[in-house]
Amino acid sequence: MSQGIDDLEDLFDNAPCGYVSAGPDGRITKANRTFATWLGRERSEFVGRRFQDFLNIAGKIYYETHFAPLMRMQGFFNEVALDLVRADGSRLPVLVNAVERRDEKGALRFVRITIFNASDRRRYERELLEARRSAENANAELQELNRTLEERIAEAVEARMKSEAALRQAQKLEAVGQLTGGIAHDFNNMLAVILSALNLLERRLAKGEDISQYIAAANDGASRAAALTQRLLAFSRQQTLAPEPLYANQMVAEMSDLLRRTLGGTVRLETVLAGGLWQVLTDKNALENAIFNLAINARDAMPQGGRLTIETANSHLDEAYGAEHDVKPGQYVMVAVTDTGTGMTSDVMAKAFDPFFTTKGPGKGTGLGLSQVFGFVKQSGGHIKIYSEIGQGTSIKIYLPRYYGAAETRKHLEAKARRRA
Amino acid sequence: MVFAHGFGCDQNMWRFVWPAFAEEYRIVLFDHVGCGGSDLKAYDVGKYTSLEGYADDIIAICRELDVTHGIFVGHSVSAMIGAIASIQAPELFDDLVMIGPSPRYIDDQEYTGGFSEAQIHELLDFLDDNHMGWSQAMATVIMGNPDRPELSEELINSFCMTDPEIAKRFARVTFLSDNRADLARVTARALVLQCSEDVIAPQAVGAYVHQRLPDSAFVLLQATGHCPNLSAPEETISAMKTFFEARDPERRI
Ligand SMILES: Nc1ncnc2c1ncn2[C@@H]1O[C@H](COP(=O)(O)OP(=O)(O)O)[C@@H](O)[C@H]1O
Ligand SMILES: [Mg+2]
Repeated sequence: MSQGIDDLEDLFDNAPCGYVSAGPDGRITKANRTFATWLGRERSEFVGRRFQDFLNIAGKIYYETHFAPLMRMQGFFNEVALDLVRADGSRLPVLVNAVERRDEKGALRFVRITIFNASDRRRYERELLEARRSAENANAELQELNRTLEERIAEAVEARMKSEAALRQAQKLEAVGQLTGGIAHDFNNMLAVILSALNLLERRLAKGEDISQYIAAANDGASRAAALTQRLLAFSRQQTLAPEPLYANQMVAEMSDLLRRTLGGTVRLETVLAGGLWQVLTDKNALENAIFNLAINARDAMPQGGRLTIETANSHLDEAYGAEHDVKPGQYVMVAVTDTGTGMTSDVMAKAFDPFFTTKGPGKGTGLGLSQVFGFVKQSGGHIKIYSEIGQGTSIKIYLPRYYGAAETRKHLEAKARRRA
Repeated sequence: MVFAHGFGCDQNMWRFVWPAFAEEYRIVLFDHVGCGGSDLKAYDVGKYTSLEGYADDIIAICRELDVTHGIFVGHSVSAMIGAIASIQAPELFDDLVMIGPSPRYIDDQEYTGGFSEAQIHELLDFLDDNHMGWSQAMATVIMGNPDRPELSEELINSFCMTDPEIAKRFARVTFLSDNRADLARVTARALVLQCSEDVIAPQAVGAYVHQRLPDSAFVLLQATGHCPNLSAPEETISAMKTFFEARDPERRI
């Protein structure tokens, strides 16, 4: 019997874990040797004190605020990580289980607290936390690197865009230079014609000879100068336009005879005219002129012949397109002139609207056709766009704002009113 | 009668206390934002950097429920939160029951708070360091309760949802607070319930609170620890009833 008690006593005292029993008032009645040894104290020192008295400050607070309430509510807690304070002030990381023992009537008899040495486990945890922290740091560094990379790319792109803008500016200046040069040159020629005609006129007039030929020459020079001025004004969007409501289909139909003759035998003209096409309010001459200019360019691009298509359509330019191309979103009438010619390189496309830009060689091109069309379209509140592919052909689309004619305006308003009702 | 729990728990704190008053009073129980069953999304780091943020919530709850001339029962840090609310909205409460109150936890010259500055920083560092240990401990505590599912349900509601980050912040706000100057401005009658051997709010602190409040009674409980509402509910209830009986018994919420 005493042998058995000794055995149990030994089991209790030298267990690989700490045992502490506390009374219903929380005061320790018994602690085993293992626990006393861990804390560097005599076993008798524990009696009458409370378990939380041996915790570090955080443990005391958490014990009171979390684990004591938990114990009271559910009768136990398990594997709570706490730090005990040894007699010499050093810390012992432990895991603590506690359970209430009650009698049959439910009255609390005692509390059994079991303590496991968690030095190793806490070290692993700390290492794990450390590892996680350094992983997070590495991740943060990587993100930082990524971020700066994005920033660096953005900077490079911006620099590139700046240089492109500068390049465009330079190209504009070049165009303006060409423009001035071109004007000077052309005016010079025309003025020379006019001046020499006047000069001769003066001499012949003194001799009483026939002067009609010189008058004609002067006239010719003067009207060519006037035409040039007109084109320049068109490009600078200052030509005087006389807008009237008109149907583009009708206009194209009326022009097709003249166009066929201009295009010659090798180029076939096709028209694809939309039914129910809206009206536009525009200058009839200017629009005709624009279509002619486009048709002539198309012909020039098809020296071996080909097909020229003039197409009309109702078109809606949406917000996104509008924002991208600097045009007001809304309803437009589109007139497209499409050829099966040589096409343009992107370089040529970029400069095609510049005045005096031509690839056609001296005496052949003026470089004023597209610039004039461009000026007219912009002055009319419209939009123009080139689609071109080398070897495939070119399509140039003009968009002119829809006009709500008298009849249409009424219909439009009625529809609106109906929608509101 | 409005019950407010302190740091570490939720309205479950009051389960042994509030039924004793349910016949006489309308009972209001709630969880502070970030604790128990509260909506964690409502936690606003800026608002809850001082106890005033929590006091504002109490005022809002009382206004919503039309509480006036009521009784506020606050445990631990919530005792001070209730005092602040009562200063800002004096019509809400005629009486404050302050269980284990502390206006400042850190010692300051003549004043004894119970903790040195170094100890409080040790606590906060420990929370930062040992976050994983705590949360794991919490998880096992909650999971390992197959015998009493009704309890575990309740505890899952209460402890699982205590976000460790929020708990850390709540600890910081609580243990770094200094609301000593507010005590003199409290106009409500107060009962200070002080536990024996309370590490968190030692007797000297309870005595200080009692002395600074313009109109208060002080009761030293036999109960030890910091949660007499759990460990000694009968003693807590009887101290409260004695206090209420001492004044006009007609007054009700
Ligand atoms: N349909 C087209 N196909 C290919 N290239 C074209 C077409 N239209 C215009 N271009 C290019 O744009 C340039 C400018 O055209 P434009 O302004 O009309 O001047 P020009 O016709 O006098 O050269 C042309 O020289 C040509 O290179
Ligand atoms: Mg041309």
